[in-house]
Amino acid sequence: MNGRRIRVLRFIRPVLAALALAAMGGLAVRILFFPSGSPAAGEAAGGWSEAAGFPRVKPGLPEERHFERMAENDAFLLLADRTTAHFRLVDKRSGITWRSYPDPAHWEAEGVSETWKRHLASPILFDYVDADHYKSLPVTGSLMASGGVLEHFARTDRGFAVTFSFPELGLKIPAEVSLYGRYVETRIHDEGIAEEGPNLLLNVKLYPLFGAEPSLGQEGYLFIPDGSGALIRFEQDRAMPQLVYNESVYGNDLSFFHEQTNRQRVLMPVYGLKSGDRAFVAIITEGEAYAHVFAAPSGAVGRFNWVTAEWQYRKRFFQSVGRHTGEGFYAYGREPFAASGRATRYYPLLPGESDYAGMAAVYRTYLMEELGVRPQVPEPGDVPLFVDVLGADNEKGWFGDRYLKVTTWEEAGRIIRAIREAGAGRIRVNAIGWQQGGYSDYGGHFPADARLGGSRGLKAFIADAHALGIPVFLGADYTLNANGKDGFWWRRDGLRNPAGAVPEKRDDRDREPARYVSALFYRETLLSDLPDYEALGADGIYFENGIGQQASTDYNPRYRSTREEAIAVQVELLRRTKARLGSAVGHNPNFYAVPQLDHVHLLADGHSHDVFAAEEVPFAQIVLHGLRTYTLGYSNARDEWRDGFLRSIEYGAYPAYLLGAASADDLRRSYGDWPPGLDYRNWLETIRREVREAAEALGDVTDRFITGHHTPAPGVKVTEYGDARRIIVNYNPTDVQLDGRVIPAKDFVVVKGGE
Amino acid sequence: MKKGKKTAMFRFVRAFALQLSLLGAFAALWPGRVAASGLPYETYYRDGFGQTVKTQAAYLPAGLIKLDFNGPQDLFVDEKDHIYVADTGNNRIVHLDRDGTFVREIVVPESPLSRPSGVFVDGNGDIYVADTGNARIVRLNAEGRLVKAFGRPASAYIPDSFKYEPVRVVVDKRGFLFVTSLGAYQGLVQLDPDGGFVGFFGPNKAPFTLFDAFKRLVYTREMYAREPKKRPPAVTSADIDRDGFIYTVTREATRDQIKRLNMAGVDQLPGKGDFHHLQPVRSYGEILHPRSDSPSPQLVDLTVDDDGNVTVVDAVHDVVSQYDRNGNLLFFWGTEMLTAAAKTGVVRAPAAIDQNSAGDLLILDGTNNLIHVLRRSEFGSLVHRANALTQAGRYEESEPLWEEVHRLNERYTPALIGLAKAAYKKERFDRAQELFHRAGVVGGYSESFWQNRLRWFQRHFGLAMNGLAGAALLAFAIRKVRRRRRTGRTGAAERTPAAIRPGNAGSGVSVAAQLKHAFTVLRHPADGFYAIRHEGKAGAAGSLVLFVLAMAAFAFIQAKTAFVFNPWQRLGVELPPLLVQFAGIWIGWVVSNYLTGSLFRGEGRFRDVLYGSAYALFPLVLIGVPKTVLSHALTLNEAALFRFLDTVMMVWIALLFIRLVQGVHNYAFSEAVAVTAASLLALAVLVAMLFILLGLGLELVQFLKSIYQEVIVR
Repeated sequence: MNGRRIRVLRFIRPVLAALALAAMGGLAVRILFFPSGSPAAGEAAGGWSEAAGFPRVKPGLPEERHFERMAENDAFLLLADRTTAHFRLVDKRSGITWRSYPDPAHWEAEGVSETWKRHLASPILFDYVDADHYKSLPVTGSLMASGGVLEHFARTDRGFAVTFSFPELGLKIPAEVSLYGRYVETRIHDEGIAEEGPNLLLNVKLYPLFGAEPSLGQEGYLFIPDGSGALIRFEQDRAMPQLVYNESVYGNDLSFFHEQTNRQRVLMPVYGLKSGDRAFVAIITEGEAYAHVFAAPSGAVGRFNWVTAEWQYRKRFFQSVGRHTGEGFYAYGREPFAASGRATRYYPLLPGESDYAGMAAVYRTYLMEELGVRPQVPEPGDVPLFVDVLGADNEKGWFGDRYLKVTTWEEAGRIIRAIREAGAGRIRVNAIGWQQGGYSDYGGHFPADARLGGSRGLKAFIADAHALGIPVFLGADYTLNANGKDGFWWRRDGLRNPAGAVPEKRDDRDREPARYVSALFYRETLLSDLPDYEALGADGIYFENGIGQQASTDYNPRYRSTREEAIAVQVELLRRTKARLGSAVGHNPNFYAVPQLDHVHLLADGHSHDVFAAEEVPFAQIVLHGLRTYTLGYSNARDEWRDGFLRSIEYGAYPAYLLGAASADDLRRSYGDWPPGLDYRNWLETIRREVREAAEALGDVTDRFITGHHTPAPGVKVTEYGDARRIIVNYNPTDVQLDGRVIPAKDFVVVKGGE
Repeated sequence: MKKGKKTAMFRFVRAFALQLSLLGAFAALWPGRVAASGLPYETYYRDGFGQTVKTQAAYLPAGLIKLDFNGPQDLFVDEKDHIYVADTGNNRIVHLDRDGTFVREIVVPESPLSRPSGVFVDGNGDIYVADTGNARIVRLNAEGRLVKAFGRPASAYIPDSFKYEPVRVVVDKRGFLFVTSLGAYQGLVQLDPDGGFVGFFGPNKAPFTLFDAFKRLVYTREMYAREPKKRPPAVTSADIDRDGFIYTVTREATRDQIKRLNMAGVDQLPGKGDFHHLQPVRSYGEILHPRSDSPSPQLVDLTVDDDGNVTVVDAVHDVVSQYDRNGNLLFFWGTEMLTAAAKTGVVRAPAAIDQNSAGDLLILDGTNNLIHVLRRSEFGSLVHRANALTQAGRYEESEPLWEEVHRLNERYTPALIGLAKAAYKKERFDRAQELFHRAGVVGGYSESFWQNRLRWFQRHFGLAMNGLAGAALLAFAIRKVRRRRRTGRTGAAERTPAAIRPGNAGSGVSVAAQLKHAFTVLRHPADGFYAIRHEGKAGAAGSLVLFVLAMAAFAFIQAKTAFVFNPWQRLGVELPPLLVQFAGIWIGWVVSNYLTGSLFRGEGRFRDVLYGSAYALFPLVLIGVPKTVLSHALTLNEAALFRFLDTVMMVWIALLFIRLVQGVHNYAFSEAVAVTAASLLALAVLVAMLFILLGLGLELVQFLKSIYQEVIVR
């Protein structure tokens, strides 16, 4: 018996070893030869297209004769091609045909590579990445270059719907094109997106080459929402032609990686194109928080100029692996951004209004009719003067931050009285730096700091201002916290990116950084602070920096929110502030906040000086004039006094000053960035002059829309307010003759209606 | 403030490169609060103290000129504002008009150019080209025909190993050429109008540091021969102004990168700036946020305007700096953001810079084949106009302009300096003194103070003389009385020792006697310290009083020395850290000296070293306090006196410490010196160890705290 057992035992070990080896071998075989998962997946993919039975889309532009009528109304006719899913829009009023693909007349001369020719001819262009290998790079795909097929092309009552399917990649993207009254809308149905297989969608451009035109010497430009608006002119011999514009609407999401481009934030989800007499403007109406505006001037990607919305599905974030070394890698999230919808509207413009002023008028109408923005502007008369009074800031001290007192509330009262005596009839005051600890002590606003006079002093100041008919708004930023007040603990309540890191803002290398606060947390903080604002008698809150400027996806488990939800929180807070206190003021806000705001402060007034952007245009100002009051940068912070003043006249903006009772020299080492000339005593004379000149130009048109804006001669700009008024501004150092009028150097002329 | 203390300790530890980084920080982009116009760069001013303030833009981007260049290396703007570009890769000179429109290209068919890297056009329209590929300078007439070619000059003074590679050329009014040759450490090659060699012009100094001196001393001949040759850096580019001064800029130098040379080749810039007392050695080329590991600026080209303002471009940091004719910084601008997007006005890797008659700057981007045009802003023009008047000595005319500059920018120090000079000229010396003090200019302050002092003396001459006479009489009388009293007393009997006070350490000497012993120590140091050890002449109370007095004197010296002699005090003196350092080093010395002494068989006990070290600090009180008080009445003219007192005090204290070691431990003088040196070494080691321990300890506490916090959150 024993002998037999021993013999069995002797066999067990080698048998086990053999089994183990076999298992390892099997695993190795599996990993090496079937990297994308089970061998079954490959089969399914291959069998997919067979099962579907749809033919691959042939590369190349569609033939005009294959287009069928899909929808029609009194102004437009929508035609589409079943084999490529491209469409044509015929404007019956002007006879202009808009194509969703490059103009065939100029297509032959296109000199890009074959792959890119297919990309440019496709109705859908996208980037995807293989998620199973973390080091894989994004790949660009398109309908015609990635073996795409059109599934379920179906007519709808307003147009057509189609599903773009990519069997080899395992991706499906359903889209829809619909014709409405004055626009055609392209939409992606997120709920139907399928990602079967290892490939994940990163971004999608739907009908990117809509309206694209090459640069053949015609007058034309791409309009991009850079700052207040910028034009990329059609040029044939461009400096650094490879540059493109690709910026996120409403600013960057702090939780994800973004390239450093040092550009102004995109305030409006609008873009456009003009070529000769043809022009269209596009408004991203749904899901704009997850869109980028992508503009490629001629020479960057092919010879056509094109601009489109790039829908984001996933972005990279930095996963740190070593705290002290800063090492890490970039990864993509598994879940795509869940937008409430993704839709873009294209509004073709009539030849008479085919410029950026016409585009702005369309966007303004959209804001009024669809977002319910009602005009909220003062009656004609004096122009309002906006005075920001700085209470206190901080600088680095020996054992902590030192409090720099700039203006007590008593002094602030003297300031507004002095300004009233200088001739400013309508004044509106934003008080900043009033909070506990000073301007740069982020977090914990109440009680108002006692060193300036405390709540009592502030209340008295507000009462004095009310007696003079001056409303006072208190400036506050609820999105940052550095001192842990308001019950904020950054490890628990901070905004988190997918890697779990909390973004921070550093004023100074030696200072504790301020952390970004989760949206749902600052919602509670602000709501609980509202009664305190009311008790002070404030007329509203001036939302500096955070709310209205910056919305991010939050992965904090306690306060999970998507970007759209964060925006909704901000909109709700603005609405409730307005309901409780009466008014809300924004600071260069994204336009989702405009419906709730009464005044837009420090609106962007230029572009980002990119090499390709030739010109800045006051698009945002044209949209807002007559709807809301707005100012440009502080007058006492202008780089050029006279030119900056002329620009505010040209843009229809009201003057704004940031003043205090101390010299800017005392704030030399402060954390905040203050104008170099701060002492109000030095500016009274200037204020008197500026208010008078601004009233002469803009006083009568406070409630009018800007209907036109153009450049009749180099350095001369004309802004038109309907028939009521034209303002001609001359930036040249010499006088200019225009239509028999002499415009003096560095000056402006007001032409009243009927002249 | 609890948070405040925490921040202070963090700063304390940071000096030892222990980065305390919390959960992966992701610094967010901060949108410029005030600059809504979105200029791609920021403009700054930095004063002599290194305080940086933002200013309005002095120059604004005004467009681009783009043409089919291929690696252009130089550009020149002539008197008609026409632009000449040395299009190196295409072997030609391109001539553009003032708007950048192509006029013609200049290839010299009769003798083709090869990789021309420099171009200069003189007053007659003759074009000089540094034809690098052919190692010559060619002179062309205005039509582009060859007039003369200057090859390698022949001269006995030029070594055979000299590589002649002309890259830039400037020509003065007489027709003399100053050629920048690549790598020529001897300076610019000066040629006469016929091409004959005149000499080398304007070389730099070879950098020779203390470490190099040490190496020279210690290394063997073979080892030293293998060291890199200590050659001066070669001049990179040159320009000439309308007065004939040659300006050179040197890329690899770390100081005096810009030179303003007269006919004799003497640099006019050193010692001329307003802040030369604070910055005896000038380094040109500003960096936006200087850090200890920032690379030095590499200034590649410069341009001079009619007022003598020099504008230089830095190829490493992409910063443009502008200085006036005396080397005072006016502005500098640039951006730290390395963006993927190219911006108008931000030149990456600039190759050359020049300006036109309107004051526009043209910067050549050699990699992207572009010329960026920057036009002067209102603020820039205003400052230039005001500063030109000030530098020309027309102070009163400059005053209203500087007032306007000051109104627009309250932090701009040149405005304060301009106003101060105007006030001085108007003989309003009080205002001048106050303004110079605010600006931090020592020279001007000293001059104004001298005037004010003179006036004070003139006003109070009578009173002063009476006071002096009275004091002299009083001193004479006191001496007379004392002499009489001394001769009156019979037998210099010793005073009985004071009553023993309870709690008096040592042999029961009164506090007053202990304090009086301090004077004895001063007069007879070795005996005095010996007495401390063996006769118990010192006690705890007395030493404490002396130490406190010494600390107070130290604080007084640090904080209250007049601005003229201690300009850095104007930034504010942080007394607590200084006092802590003082006390810390003193205690450290005591401990290390006691330990070292006991090692070397010294006889001193701990308390003897302690008491003695307090006594050794007495000159701080005796000389330091009066010296500080006196400093308020002195100007720079009397600096020698002040420095003398300072030196006496320091030397005396040093000697006293050595005598302390000698007396308390009972050494010979030479032994005492050796033991003092050993104590200092021990002190250094002690300090280092303490810092390490502190740092590690804090790190440990942080670590534990973060673990605790993580656990709580999860």
